[in-house]
Amino acid sequence: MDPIVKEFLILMTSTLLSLMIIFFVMTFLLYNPIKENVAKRQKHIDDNISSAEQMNSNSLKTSKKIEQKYNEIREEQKIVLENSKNEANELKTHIINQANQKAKKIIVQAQEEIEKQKESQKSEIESEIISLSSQIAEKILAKEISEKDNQKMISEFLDQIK
Amino acid sequence: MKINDSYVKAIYDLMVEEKNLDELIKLSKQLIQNFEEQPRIVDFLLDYSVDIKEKEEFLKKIVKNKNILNWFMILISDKEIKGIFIYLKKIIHKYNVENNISEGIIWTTKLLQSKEITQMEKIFSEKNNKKVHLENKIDKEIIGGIKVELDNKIWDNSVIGQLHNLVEKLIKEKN
Repeated sequence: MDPIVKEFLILMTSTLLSLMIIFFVMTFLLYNPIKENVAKRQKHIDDNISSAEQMNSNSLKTSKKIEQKYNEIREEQKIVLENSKNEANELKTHIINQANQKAKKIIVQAQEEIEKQKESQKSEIESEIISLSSQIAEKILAKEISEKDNQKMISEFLDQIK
Repeated sequence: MKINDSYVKAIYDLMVEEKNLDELIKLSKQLIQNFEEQPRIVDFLLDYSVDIKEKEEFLKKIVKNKNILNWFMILISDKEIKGIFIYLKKIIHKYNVENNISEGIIWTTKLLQSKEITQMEKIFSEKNNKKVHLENKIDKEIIGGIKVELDNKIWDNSVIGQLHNLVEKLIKEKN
């Protein structure tokens, strides 16, 4: 065998042997701790995932509850709004009715007032006519009344008081 | 106006004692008439700028009785003269009440004869069961007829009265 090949084979064999030794040493020193770490890491991740899933599940439940509550509130709001609308409509109708009644009353009062004023004016005019007639009569009588009439009235008075 | 009845009582009682009450009543009536006809007399008596002696001299001409004159001077010095109308009327009223007398006024357009007044006084005296004195005064505004005022009552048979009654009746019927 060629020495070079022989040397090569020896070198190769020693190299392989060295590599194997290194491999076993490395495996013993590094692989197992790393494997353990990886396993721990994996567990940690799994725990986190599980926790996250739990949280997600809780969150979904809470979300559903919130949604349900929200829907309930919406329903209540709708009812309250509906009631308020009804009350507002009733109030509106009541106010309109009252306003109409008031307006009718005002119109009736105004008509009565106008009638009263008409009557009052008529009465005033009539009183004025009577007063003027009286004044005219006074002037006529002042001229027309004679001494005889005057004496007659005094005599009548004496007869009345007797 | 606050009136102190003590002034009335003082002069009234004094005149009763002196048996000069009729003079006081006559003078009171005359003074009321004078003061009504000439309100300047009262103004003169009220005027604080006029000397009190001057007022006394003036009063001496119309008031002969010394006690009545003194009474006036007291009213002046006590600043009560502004109520002289009321004091004189109260004196007459007191006299009338004590003597069961009522005083009234007959309003006519011309003065009545004294026999007519006497006749009316007699009728009203009998009706009211008291002595009635009536004074006849002229009021042209009644146009004609007669109106008598006595003890806050009015008997009206005047033209103006009848006309007013007619007007009232017309207004009542109208309403």
